[in-house]
Amino acid sequence: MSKLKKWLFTALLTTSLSVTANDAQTMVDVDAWQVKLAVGVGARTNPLVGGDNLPLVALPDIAYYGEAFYFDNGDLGYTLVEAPNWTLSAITRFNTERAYFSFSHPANIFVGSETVDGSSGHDANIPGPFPTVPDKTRTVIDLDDLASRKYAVDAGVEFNYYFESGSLLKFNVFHDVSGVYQGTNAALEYAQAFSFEKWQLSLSAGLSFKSQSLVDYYYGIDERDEVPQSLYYEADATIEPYVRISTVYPINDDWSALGLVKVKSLGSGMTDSPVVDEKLATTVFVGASYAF
Amino acid sequence: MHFKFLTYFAFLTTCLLMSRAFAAEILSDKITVFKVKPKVCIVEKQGQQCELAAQIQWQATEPLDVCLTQQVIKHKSEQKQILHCWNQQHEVFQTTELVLAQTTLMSLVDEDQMLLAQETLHVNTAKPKKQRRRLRSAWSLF
Repeated sequence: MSKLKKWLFTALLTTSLSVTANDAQTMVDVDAWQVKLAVGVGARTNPLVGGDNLPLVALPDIAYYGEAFYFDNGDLGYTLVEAPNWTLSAITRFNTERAYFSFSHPANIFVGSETVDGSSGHDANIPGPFPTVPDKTRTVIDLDDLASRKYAVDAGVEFNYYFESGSLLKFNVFHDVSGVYQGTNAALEYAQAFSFEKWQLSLSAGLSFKSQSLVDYYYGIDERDEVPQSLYYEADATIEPYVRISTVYPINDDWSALGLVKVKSLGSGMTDSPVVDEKLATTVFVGASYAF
Repeated sequence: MHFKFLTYFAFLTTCLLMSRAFAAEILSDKITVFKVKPKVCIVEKQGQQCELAAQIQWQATEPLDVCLTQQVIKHKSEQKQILHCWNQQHEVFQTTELVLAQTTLMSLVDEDQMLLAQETLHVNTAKPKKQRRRLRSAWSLF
């Protein structure tokens, strides 16, 4: 037993010593397209009531960097300053909030103090002081009755700071320039990359802020929706913590194995909405990528 | 004095190594000379094709059926493209138009595709490849 412990300790020590911190920054060729396509299995959970998970079968990774202009996975940017330790860029991109509504289908939304199984919010297995009786005043609305939520285009600035240790601190702030939700969103993220033999691991954690008008436009219920006034919901601004882990194992020059996990804890301004019934939004993908 | 000797030695060694790097590789006793000139083509920036009129010279100990091939890369796999063939020749000196996408291996092969000699034509960029930081993490679309 003690031998096993000693062996485990040695293995653990060896492993931890051979894991090295890498730069979170990746260098790319200027004036060249970086095109990769990953094929595999994965999904992004949909927190909407009746929302289908967004299936991820093919995942693209597309970037083009000029001297200052760049396109990177949906971001259209212009780097205003590129200093040795930091960059400042102006960026425009589609807001991704609307995507959840594309993968939702007509579903009943139950509004009221009672949960769907009629347990009045208590755990059905725990006997309460009062018998659980169906609430006859419970109101049911249909997600299809809600007015259509539109796609929005954001524009903003992003500041990246690169530490001597190789880690990266990112801050960005965006405003809706399409006049759809007329609000703001921002993110603060810290990232660090590691390598272990041929494995490359990237870890990042951050906080995402969504202004009241953003959350209210997508998840609020008001006069634009064909529902009784008693069901109106006014959403608050949210701060959502998230973590992201990605790992790549190069098989040869062209092919790599790829794994991604992102978990975001949704803010109460969003989760209190009758159209939302999940507290987490999770993205998982495992597959093989090909570099063109 | 000692320093001067070391400098000369380093210079001569570099010249020797460079001449070897740019020398044709003759792999058959039948071939005595194989030269392709110029050996270096300069393009303005990375990815540009190089078009040049190359002087091809080869000599053999006996009349041979020989083809000149150019290494090309199609769909990430290497292939040999025949540029010119000669029947029963033992000495050739001619100019051939070449289009090079990158540093390329020019080869002399016989009728059985046996490699007789080869020479590398280097494609260099006047402006070296420039790199910058990627500002979003890979696979960040979702």
